[in-house]
Amino acid sequence: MTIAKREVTSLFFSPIAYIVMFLFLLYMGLVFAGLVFVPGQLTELRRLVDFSRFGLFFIVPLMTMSLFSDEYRSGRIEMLRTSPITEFDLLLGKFIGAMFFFLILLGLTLIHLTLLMIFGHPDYGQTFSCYLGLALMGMMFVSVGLFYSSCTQNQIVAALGSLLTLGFFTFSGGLSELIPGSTKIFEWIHSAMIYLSVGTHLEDFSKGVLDTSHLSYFLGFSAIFLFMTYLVLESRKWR
Amino acid sequence: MSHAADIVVDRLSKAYGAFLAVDRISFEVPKGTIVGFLGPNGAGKTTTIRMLTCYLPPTGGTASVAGYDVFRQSLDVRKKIGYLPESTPLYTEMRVQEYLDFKGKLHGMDRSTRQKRIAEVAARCWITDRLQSVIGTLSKGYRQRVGIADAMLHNPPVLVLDEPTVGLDPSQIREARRLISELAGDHTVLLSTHILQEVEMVCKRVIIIANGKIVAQGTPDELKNRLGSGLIVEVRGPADQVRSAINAIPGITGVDVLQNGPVCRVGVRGKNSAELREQIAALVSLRGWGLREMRTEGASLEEFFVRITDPGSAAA
Ligand SMILES: Nc1ncnc2c1ncn2[C@@H]1O[C@H](COP(=O)(O)OP(=O)(O)OP(=O)(O)O)[C@@H](O)[C@H]1O
Ligand SMILES: [Mg+2]
Repeated sequence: MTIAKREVTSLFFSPIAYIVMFLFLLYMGLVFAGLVFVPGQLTELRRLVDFSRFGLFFIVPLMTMSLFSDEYRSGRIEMLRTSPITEFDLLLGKFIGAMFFFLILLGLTLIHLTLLMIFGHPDYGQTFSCYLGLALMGMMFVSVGLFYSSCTQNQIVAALGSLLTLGFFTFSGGLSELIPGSTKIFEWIHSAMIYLSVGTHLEDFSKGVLDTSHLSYFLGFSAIFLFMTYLVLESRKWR
Repeated sequence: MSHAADIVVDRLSKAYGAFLAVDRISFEVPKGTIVGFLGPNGAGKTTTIRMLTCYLPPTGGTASVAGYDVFRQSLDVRKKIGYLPESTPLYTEMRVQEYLDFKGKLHGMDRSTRQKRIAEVAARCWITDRLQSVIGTLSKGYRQRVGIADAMLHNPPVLVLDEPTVGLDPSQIREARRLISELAGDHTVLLSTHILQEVEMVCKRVIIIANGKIVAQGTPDELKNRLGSGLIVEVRGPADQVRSAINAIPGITGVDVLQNGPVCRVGVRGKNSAELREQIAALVSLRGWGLREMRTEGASLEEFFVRITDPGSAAA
């Protein structure tokens, strides 16, 4: 918890955090303005969720790239490692810190939402489930980012790794269309890619439908990446 | 569990790939004493210290700190150790006070204890007036002091300091050495350094390491005695003859010509006894050379260090 708190405070001191926040708000503002001028689209929360999804795919890697990489590069990892905290505490602290920042970021879009409420009449339940879906997706994205950050002391490499991975999860639904659906194996790959796509699982949330299979998708992948991060942290001891 | 020693190192080794950085070293640091850990660059000091502080796992041997095994009881060890890493890595965007508070929390100290301890260590490390400064704006010496304060924060029984006086100005070096000396008794300190005076001033015992192996250990005086003290003799006479004549006296282990010319100066190594000095004086007057000066020169730890860690010369 101490780590998390420090992480959050230090994020607010780093220029990256403000750049991230600014970019995200700018992007969301543009999206929102775009939607406002298309009549009839305004109440379509689904569109907003879709655009948030693409925005977060760029933003989260920027947000998470330094979490471990910077500790390695600066040598502070030595200080953390020799403090009486376990690898698990360290990971949990970083994760909670990053999630907190992410939720603030997401919370900032409530500004847009408020406008939306003034102009249209969105369904509250649906709005809630949209945000829940985005928060769960954020959790998975943050876990992926943490994993890459724990692998390298180079922030750029960490950001690229998470971008590629998240890119796959974000676009695999679209990419799956490119696969010729002729043979069994291709069909299998096709459906696998659709399953892996974040969009597939976010869709129901944005319709206001809560489904445990989608919930387990996000939680499952978060857990997998967090666990892999844990393994990386443990194994780094052995170098 | 040993009650006599706070740090027990037994045949500890560390290999980086094929390179053996620390090679089966063994030593003990008794409770309440300050032991100097001395060695040239790349000797393996930092590597050894990192194993003791649970940052690196040993590739062989065992070590224990305050009775806990560094490998199996790593969390207990980390609670008992105050560690100043070589590069003093700190969060540069934090204020000194915030940073120390953060470290206090990591050590599980409650709020009032943290406040009390931060005030105490800040006073001892002369950073009270800098508590509100952002660490990134501090000079190297001040950061070093923050690092020392950090190491002492949770009042650990064992302190491991990797080159604590690097970057401090001369008066601060003196203060820091006094501070470290004051720690003796309540604390067990392992102090890594290249600076020989530092060891002579603050350490009860010295461990000298070179190329991953311990080459000598003992009290500073013991080590100096192992060298034997030297005698400087200044004589009006031919250097070669003076040298060979003195060398022929039994009990002399070596004579070096320090200065040539009509008046020569030689350094004489061997057991320095009054008897020997009389013999030399007698010899010089017998040969008709003029004895200008004869004085004893205590071997310095520096000499010992250079001699023992330099692979070119035979170990003393
Ligand atoms: N991570 C590493 N990987 C490979 N070799 C390393 C690593 N760390 C240290 N070494 C090597 O191990 C040897 C011992 O290094 P160490 O840092 O322990 O020396 P030191 O005694 O602390 O030196 P100094 O006085 O310069 O601080 C050196 O030859 C160094 O190059
Ligand atoms: Mg070193």
